[in-house]
Amino acid sequence: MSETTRKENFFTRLLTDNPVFGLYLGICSTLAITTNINNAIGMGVAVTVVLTLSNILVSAVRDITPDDIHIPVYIVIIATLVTIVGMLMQAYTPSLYSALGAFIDLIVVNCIILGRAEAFASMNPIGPSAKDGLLMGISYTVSLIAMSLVRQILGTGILSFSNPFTNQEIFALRLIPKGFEIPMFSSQVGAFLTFACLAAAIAAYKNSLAAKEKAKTKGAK
Amino acid sequence: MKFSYRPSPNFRSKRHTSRIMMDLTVCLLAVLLCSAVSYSIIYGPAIGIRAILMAAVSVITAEATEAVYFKIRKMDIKKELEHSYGWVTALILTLITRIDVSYYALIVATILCIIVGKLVFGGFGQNIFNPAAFGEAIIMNNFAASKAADVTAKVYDTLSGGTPMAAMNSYGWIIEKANFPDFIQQFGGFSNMAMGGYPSVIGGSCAIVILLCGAFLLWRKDINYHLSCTYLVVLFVMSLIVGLYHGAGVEYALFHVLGGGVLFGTVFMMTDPVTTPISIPGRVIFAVGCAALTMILRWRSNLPDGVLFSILLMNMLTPAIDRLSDGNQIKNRKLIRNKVLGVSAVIMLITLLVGFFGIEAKHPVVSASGANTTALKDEDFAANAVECTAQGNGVYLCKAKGFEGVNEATITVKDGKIVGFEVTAFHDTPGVGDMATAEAELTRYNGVSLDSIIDATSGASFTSSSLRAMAAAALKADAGEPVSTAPAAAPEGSLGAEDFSANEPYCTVWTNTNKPEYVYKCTAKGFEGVNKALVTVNKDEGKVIAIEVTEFNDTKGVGDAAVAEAELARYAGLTLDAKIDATSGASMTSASLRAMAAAALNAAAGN
Amino acid sequence: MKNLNKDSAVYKMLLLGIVCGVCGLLLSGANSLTAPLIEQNKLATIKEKLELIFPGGDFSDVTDQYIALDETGLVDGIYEAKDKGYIFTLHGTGYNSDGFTFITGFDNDGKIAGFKAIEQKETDGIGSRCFTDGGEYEQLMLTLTTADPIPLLSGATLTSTAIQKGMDAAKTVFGGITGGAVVPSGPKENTAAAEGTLGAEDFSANEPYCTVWTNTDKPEYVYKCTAKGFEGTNQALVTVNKDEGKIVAIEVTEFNDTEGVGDAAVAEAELARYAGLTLDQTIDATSGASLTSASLRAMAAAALEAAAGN
Repeated sequence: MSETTRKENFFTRLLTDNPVFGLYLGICSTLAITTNINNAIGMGVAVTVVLTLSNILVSAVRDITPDDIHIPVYIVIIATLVTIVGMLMQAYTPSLYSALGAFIDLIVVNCIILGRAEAFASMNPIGPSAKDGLLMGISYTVSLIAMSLVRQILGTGILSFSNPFTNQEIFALRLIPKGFEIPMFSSQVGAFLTFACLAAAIAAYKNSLAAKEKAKTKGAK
Repeated sequence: MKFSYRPSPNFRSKRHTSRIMMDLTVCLLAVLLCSAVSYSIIYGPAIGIRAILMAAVSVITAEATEAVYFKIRKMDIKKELEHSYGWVTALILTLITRIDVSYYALIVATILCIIVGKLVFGGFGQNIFNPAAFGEAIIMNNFAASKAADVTAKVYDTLSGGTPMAAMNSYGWIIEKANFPDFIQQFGGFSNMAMGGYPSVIGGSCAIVILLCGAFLLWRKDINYHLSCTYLVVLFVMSLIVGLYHGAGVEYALFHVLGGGVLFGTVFMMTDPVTTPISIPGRVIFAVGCAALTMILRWRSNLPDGVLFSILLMNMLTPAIDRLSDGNQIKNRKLIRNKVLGVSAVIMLITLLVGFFGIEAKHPVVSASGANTTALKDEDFAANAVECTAQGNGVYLCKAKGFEGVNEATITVKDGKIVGFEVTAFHDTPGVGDMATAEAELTRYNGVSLDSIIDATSGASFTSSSLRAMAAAALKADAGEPVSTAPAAAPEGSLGAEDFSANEPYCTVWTNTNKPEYVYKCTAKGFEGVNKALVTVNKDEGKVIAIEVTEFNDTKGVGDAAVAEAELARYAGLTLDAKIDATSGASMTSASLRAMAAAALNAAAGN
Repeated sequence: MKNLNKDSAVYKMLLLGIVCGVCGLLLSGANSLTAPLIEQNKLATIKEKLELIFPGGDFSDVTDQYIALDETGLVDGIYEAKDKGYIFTLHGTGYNSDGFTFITGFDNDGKIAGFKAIEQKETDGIGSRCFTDGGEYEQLMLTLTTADPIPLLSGATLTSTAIQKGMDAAKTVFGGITGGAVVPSGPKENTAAAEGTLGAEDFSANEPYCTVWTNTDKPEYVYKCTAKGFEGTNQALVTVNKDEGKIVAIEVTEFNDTEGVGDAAVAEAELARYAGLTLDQTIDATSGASLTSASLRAMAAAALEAAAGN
């Protein structure tokens, strides 16, 4: 496979095999915290770290774990990772920690993590598991960023980003003049609307890809 | 063989539908016109034209949105637009929203309600929720702050007590029979409300026109009477029962029916065949549910009017209601009738219980800022210590205390009305209080007489009250009435006039179990220390009853002459207008005592 | 370990035990690394808010000490600004069911020293007007003292009612700390004392009256009290433990009733009965000296009520 095709595939898969919009996993946190980009990136990074490490660890113990206790073992591992990540966030990025609130602890029950552990890491060696976790985490982060871009710009009119460690604002652009923003998008109503629209867009894209594939194979025949 | 009778939801005759929708459009335009005319009469043509402009903006936006959607879906734009009836949604949305909503809000709400409320579900005839109601919900949720301020000022701020629904809300939704005439007079009486003389939402004021439209639509068989009539009757009866329980009369029930969006909703929104149940028993349940929700939302929620959300909530239940009343309607007539009666009875019972036990009459307190309900001559300006000197020819130089400073103005009075108001000195907070002294605000005083009601400028209430105080004083002086002097302008040398700022007196209520006697625990600086005393004051008479020194921290042997029994006894019967001498040789301690006495008296007087 | 059968219970228990043990170690390691940083962050965030009220103050967290004074549960934190006053962080629920948090402070004269929102999501243009930085409502607050009722803001009744409740709670705690009575903004909810107890007795005929005499020995407050007895007014010094709401001692300083009759009630042994008395308890009169007893009980009740901040 050539370099360009690999890259194309990567980006395509980012959209179509997206855990949030493709597999519809981990929607709660997506809807709840994507009110601004800081939150999205913070949560995305946290989930990626936890996902990658948990995939590695689950893959490492997959051979020595008997079937009937595999769920408690995985959950202990995941919970430990989440707690450690939470403590690190609380210490080094306190503003992000308070913004994300309970949803950091809820990463434990994020379907993506246990889902990938069960579906992939428990059956594959460490290397591919780590890669899977990393890629899933990255596409999750990308979806969060997409959601929060829409919600933040429409809901507050400002596109801003602050350094999570020092709470300093790196940039803040006002894209919609004051008084013309639609506050609904910062609330849950807007979350559902944005999610629906993005999910529909990706589904449409997937359909068009599938149609193209079909045309290609038909043509090749 | 099993016969199944079901009204056919799939039968869609486009020609038939178009006739209904055209009739509806004509009626909506009629209501719009009536509102525009009545707004023009009361508030000037600019406002009336705004109503029409808003409708136009909404209609254009709706059509544009649908056109774009059909283009994307690669459908025949013209044909689809004709049969999508987007302008009906747009007109209804305009009519259920307030006139001071900004155009931007209207555009965004229209786009969203057309796309998410209608097109996403499959277009006309397939939607679950009433799209116009959804649009208005968006406006209420998002754009409450983004209003055309000048329109708000013109239309809504001049209302004392707000829209009828908001006013009723502030009274806790129950007004005794005796008080009702006063309450309804605020809005010009029922006749005024019916004729569109009182603004609430754009389409909400012309009750007569709406009823005529309703009659017209019924005659043309465009709408079905079951829903509308059941709704109105149930609403009226339930509010009547609850009203009687709480001591209000028939007017209370009438108010519920005439006020808010009830009539408009009944004729134009509840009759939407797409979002309401198909079968007649289903419609009855829908109507009862809507009536119940309207009442409960009005009584118990923060929203001033419950009609909108009651419609949306019942739309949600429509499929379930359809299932409930589905089936063999001829064979199972009794069963279905019993189901309907049962459900309706339960719903009505719950509503009545909420009405009986969930309402509490409130007596709204006059607030920090906003609309005024008292005429200028009756307002209490004691705190403003206003003074006016006549210059002759109806010109008065006045001063009055505002927030922190004393403001001065020259007021010209002719024939009992103010013809000129010029602020000559402004000593309040710049950037805050001077909102009240802006040209636009001062012009409101033109033509003002003692019977007028002038609203405070919101955000600058202290300065506003100083201006109003001066206006009242000037008018009174012109009429030959004595200008009331405030207790703060006490005669020279009296206790109330002395300046005790150096003593920093401070009193808090210690006990008031023996009303009207209040005991204040006071502190004040004396010579070198802070003295403490308990000052007993008769609040009603504004007199000191006793002073008891609890802590003496000045020079022993010098200051304590002032705290001897005999000296303290001199304070009995002291008022702010009286004089009290210092104890010679102990003037600082005396000052601290007098400071505490004055502070306690001031606190009792509510200053 | 390799000899153990994977399906045996021992193996499973061992595996679970090892997994949990390792995870526990990792957690405690992370905890010891991060805990001090977290503590520092907490103080830093609070300090920022405290500076809003008393800039440059010397702050200390006294929440644990005084939080019991708050019966409403609306007070989140209590901070003392040395020599300046006290700061309160409070929460309330107005229109938005997520609620809001705000901070206020009273200086040593009882004047409201500041009023700022910490976090609020009230409706823009409606409830949020109460919290506008430097806005009308804040300015109004700054003119008030603990003796004044907190006003509502028209058009934002729900939000300002919640603020009012929070401010009243703060005032109550402040009153409890400083020993003064405060005026509540709303109708005062009087917790009726159980029948027959000291708190429920009607002493209006005795006209009891107490003032703080000395409170140098906190939590003990000494009240100088007077109350009418049979024919004269008796005076006593009542020592109350404010925190526990109990009487420590009564010392009669002036006895003006009938010698030989009423003074049975002021004998050492009788006065000793008052030790440990609270408003919820009953205390019997001294037989044969009921009026003087009543005056003593009246003074005890008044002192306890004053200590409770009623």
